[in-house]
Amino acid sequence: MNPFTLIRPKTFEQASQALTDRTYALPMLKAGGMDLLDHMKEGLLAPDALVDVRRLTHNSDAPGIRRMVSDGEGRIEVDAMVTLAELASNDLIKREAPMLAAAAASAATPQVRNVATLAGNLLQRPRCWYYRKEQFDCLKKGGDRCYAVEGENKHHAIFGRGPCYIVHPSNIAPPLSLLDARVHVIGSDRDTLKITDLFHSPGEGVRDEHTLKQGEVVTHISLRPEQTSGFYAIKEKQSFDWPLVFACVALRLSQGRIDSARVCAGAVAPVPWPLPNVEQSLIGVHIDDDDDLHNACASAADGAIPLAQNEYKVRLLPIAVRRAVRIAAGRPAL
Amino acid sequence: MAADKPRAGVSRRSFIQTVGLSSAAGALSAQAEAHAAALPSLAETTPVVLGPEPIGASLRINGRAFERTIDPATTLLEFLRVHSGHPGAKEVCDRGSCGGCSVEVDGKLVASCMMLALDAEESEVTTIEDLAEGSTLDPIQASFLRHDALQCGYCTPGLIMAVRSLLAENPKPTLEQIKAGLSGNLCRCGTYTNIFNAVLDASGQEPIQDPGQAVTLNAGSSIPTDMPTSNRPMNLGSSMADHTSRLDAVAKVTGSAIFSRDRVLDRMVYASFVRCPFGKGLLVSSDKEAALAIPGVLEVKLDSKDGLYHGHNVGHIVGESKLAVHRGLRALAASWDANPSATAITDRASPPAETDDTHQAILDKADHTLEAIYTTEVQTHSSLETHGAVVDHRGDQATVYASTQGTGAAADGLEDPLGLPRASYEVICEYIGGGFGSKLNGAGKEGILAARISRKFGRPASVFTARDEDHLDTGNRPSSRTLVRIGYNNDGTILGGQVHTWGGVGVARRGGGVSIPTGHYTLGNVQKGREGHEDVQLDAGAPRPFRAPGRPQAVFTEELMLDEIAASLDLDPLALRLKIENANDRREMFEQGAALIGWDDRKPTGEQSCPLRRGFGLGASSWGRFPAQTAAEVVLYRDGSVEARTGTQDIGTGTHTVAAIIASNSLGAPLDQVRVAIGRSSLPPGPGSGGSMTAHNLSPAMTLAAQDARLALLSLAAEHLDADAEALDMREGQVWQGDKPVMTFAEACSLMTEDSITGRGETSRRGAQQPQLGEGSSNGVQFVDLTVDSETGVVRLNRIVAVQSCGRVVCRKTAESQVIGGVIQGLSYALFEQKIHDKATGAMVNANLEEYKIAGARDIPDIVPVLWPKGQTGVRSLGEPVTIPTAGAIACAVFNAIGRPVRSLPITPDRVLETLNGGKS
Repeated sequence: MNPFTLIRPKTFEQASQALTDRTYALPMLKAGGMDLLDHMKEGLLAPDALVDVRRLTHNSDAPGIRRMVSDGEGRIEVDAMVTLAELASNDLIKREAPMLAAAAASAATPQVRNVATLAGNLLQRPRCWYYRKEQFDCLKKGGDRCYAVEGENKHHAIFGRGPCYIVHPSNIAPPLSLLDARVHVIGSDRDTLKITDLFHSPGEGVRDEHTLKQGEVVTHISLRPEQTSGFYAIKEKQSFDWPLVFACVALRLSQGRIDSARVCAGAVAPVPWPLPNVEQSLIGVHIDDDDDLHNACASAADGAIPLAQNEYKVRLLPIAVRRAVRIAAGRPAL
Repeated sequence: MAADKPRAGVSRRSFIQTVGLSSAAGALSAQAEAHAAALPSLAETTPVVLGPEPIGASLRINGRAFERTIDPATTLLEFLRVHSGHPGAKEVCDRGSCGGCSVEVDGKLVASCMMLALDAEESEVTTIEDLAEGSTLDPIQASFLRHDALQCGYCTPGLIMAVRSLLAENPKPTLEQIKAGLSGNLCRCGTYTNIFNAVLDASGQEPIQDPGQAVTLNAGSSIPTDMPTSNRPMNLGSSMADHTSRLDAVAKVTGSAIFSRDRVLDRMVYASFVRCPFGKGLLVSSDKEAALAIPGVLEVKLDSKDGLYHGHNVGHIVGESKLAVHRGLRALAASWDANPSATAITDRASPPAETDDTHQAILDKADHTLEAIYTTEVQTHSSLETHGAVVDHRGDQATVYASTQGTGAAADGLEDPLGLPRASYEVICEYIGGGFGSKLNGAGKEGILAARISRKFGRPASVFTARDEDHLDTGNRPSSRTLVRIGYNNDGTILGGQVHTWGGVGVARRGGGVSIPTGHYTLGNVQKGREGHEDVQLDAGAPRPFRAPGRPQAVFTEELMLDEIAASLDLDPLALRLKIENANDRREMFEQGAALIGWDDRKPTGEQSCPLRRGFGLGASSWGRFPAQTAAEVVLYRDGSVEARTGTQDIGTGTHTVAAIIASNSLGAPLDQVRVAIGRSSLPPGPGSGGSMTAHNLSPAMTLAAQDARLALLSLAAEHLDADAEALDMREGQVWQGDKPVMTFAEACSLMTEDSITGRGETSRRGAQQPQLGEGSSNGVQFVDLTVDSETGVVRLNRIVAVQSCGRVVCRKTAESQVIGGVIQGLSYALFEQKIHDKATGAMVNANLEEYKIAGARDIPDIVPVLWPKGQTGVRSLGEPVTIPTAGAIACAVFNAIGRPVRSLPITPDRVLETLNGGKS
């Protein structure tokens, strides 16, 4: 790793200031540091200052997860520096937003989950192996092409139509999008944004994946409970592996029949990918009617344009959605 | 909160700066800075600023404070290993994917490679070194020892830390919870099964495959050499040592085993190669001056502008630290053009040989013919300790700490780079973190570079590959492609036909052979011959021997081909094997294995239509013996202790333990009196640790040495007793005259007038004078029970039964571990592993341990190792044959489950789905 100055601000405001006060040429926020150290070791980034926010919290002593008392929806507040392990094991999250706990538990390894943070997970860079290799001067690095289009694209996007074919790397961004998550930031003229507005597609800017402005720092998020929710990931390896495809689903059920559904897919597009068609088709389906459920999920991959090596994702997506629906309804995945 | 803890006796005030609180005050004056630092109130509210220059850091590790001046970019792992003498945490993947560097920070398990040392200040760091108290092991360590939950031992510290963390949160985990808790730790030897048992045992639960009688060690108990486990009753009673635990296990479970990569010597310099990033690269620009200007960079050398493959070394950088070398490489800013390259066999393969008239006639007259192509991908060895050496050149002498499977061969290659005669230096490899064939390359280019640099700079030098370099340039099991044209009759008789194979050998000329037909079965008259194989040269790293070279590929093809034939005839594939099996013992093994796996539950191929489809498969293996010149010594000391000596090394197979058991048995002296000296080129030369040669060559040599020493000792005793030496016997630690014990072994030793007696034994390459010569080859069969999720294509293994002969078993536990490890490497090969190249540039895109996928804890089924007891004499091969049939058996089981053959390894979900949906099959 390159030499750098390590800055430990005492507040998020100080962190924001350290990012913008021009003392350093390339200051970068460091939370758990997993993705940042990875970039520095690979030689992809050489920040001259790391602004370490990993111990910061917006209103208490230690990063935590709490019910917001003054909120009619029963929303839950999660500090940006809460770790994935805490998200996965927290009783409130497990009860009120089980798909989020499952998504966090499904990510990375126990060692990584103990350090990696909520905000770090949302803002980590894509895993595309062309992006992650220094020798490929791809679009994300200012180059003139996406190597995946003609190259090894088994793990790339089937939605989004480029020009860059990354899949969004966060396991927890899709469930958070169904939990109406609001991202609280400091350092600019706004203080919240919807999680769906946190990310942008490659067409709207290929060099980065999020919409944060220079100096904006995520302090916490809030989310709306969805107790009837489920997450299902399909992986090659059952030990640490990135999902081939995953889906999360939040349902409103009455007597086993779906009144409304919200569905979002992951590992298929450069951003969390909502599936409004499936949400529509699921309405009225009884959770124990396998055929109806199968049919309702069949359109999950409609509109996908697979690359040469990832057509299998088109087959996997309806399966992942159907299994997530079943899990949300308290049934076995299959 | 941890941050509020007082930090006794630590001052970093001189390094602390403050940054301005308003945008106008980008930097405060020095005076204001000093003022601010002196004012606690301000210091508490302003950011702390550290670096970029080296700064004072204070970490509490295992209850002790360590104050060091470090670069802020120093990771916790480097701080532990290099700056504070805690080498138990290993650098393996350097990206948080493998758990090798696991330690606890404030009670939480973390990957120390992905954490800055400065981030662990104000925290309590706990490492493997803290677990044992004196000579008393932690119960987890003791349980690892007892269940032989370790082989090479390189992953062991990380795994034990992960188990500790798991049990702290969940004192009685289920098997599934154990697998989940350990899913961040990779073991390349494939020890998981025994690790699960160790965790169950340590948490007061019954080990799997265990009908009872588990002995739980309590904290505080001493560590006996005799540690019964009863979970594999079928293997008890036939070995020389049923209950002996690996003798080097204490060192491995406590983190005190020092591997070559762990050596940190005073004033040591580091070096890395400059490598080509493409399949065929041309170095168009670089900035040597900039690299040399990096503080700590000592030398920058470029030897060539032409890179012949991704990972090809074209120069090197030497520096004072790994950070300096890394920064030097960045500053060098080597810019490469990628020229067109070929990395797949099909890019360059010639057409297959023509089927000749004789064989065409066979195909013509057969009732049926099968013509198909089977392919396998490149598998890298992925030893957790990467390749390299630490060389300490001291002018007229040198010591080389190499990670090698042959201390002798490594020494042979170093005379020139060290500039010393062979007698003036020694190669030492006390412990090696995985060696599956790729460390049989003598000193290797890393060792040679380390030798040259150490000689030039007059300082110790460390050169070890990083994980990506290890994938790229330290060998592999080559890719293969096999064309089969085979004729067979309705009754299952195989008439023969033609087989043509291709092997992708990278920039090597040879080494891609596929050993098909295997000879396991009567396949009629098959045309192959010299023209039947082509080694296809590619723009990629060269292969090296990899555990049973050429065999897993062959068995995958042959077994799947046979299952396809059986299915086409509505024959039970086991019945077909029994009909054409060439070895009588394997025929019996097939019957036993079938009973153990529950073959009767198997449904005919292609009959299932439910989403989850169960499949059964089988495969056969054999491996011969390869006599190698081997010398050993057994030294008896006057105090009654014994040293068994040989230059060979223990790569995790248990050589250390085998040497001691053989010496003890042949002497008739107590095992706990035997210490073992191995892994040094100055010791009597032993075989390289390859080809499953070590145990069966070492055993006779060690036996001869022990017999030699025994005779000398008995002569002394005879003289003392005024008896005839031939009338005396030594067994069970006693000297016997007839049926009467007349003195203890120790008393006999005390009769020596010299300090010691040395017995010598040697066996020749031709296999003469081998008192324990085994007959024939080591045969085995494996059975697989799995489930294919036909909707997702994901293959889940349920159970694998491995029945294996290996002659007389020396050490039951380490032998079982070999079997389990072979199976696990085989299943990982079958389902996950492949080197993926970008076709346009020839670059490997998955050179890490995240996208180059190796089976982890959750991918491991119940594995039943059966050591075949019938008619076994002598010591035979074991390491290679157990990895040969696994992939084939898995491929057969997948075929059985889904009704279509997946003819390409690895059997990944996309391939299963493609096959199911009528694509390539």
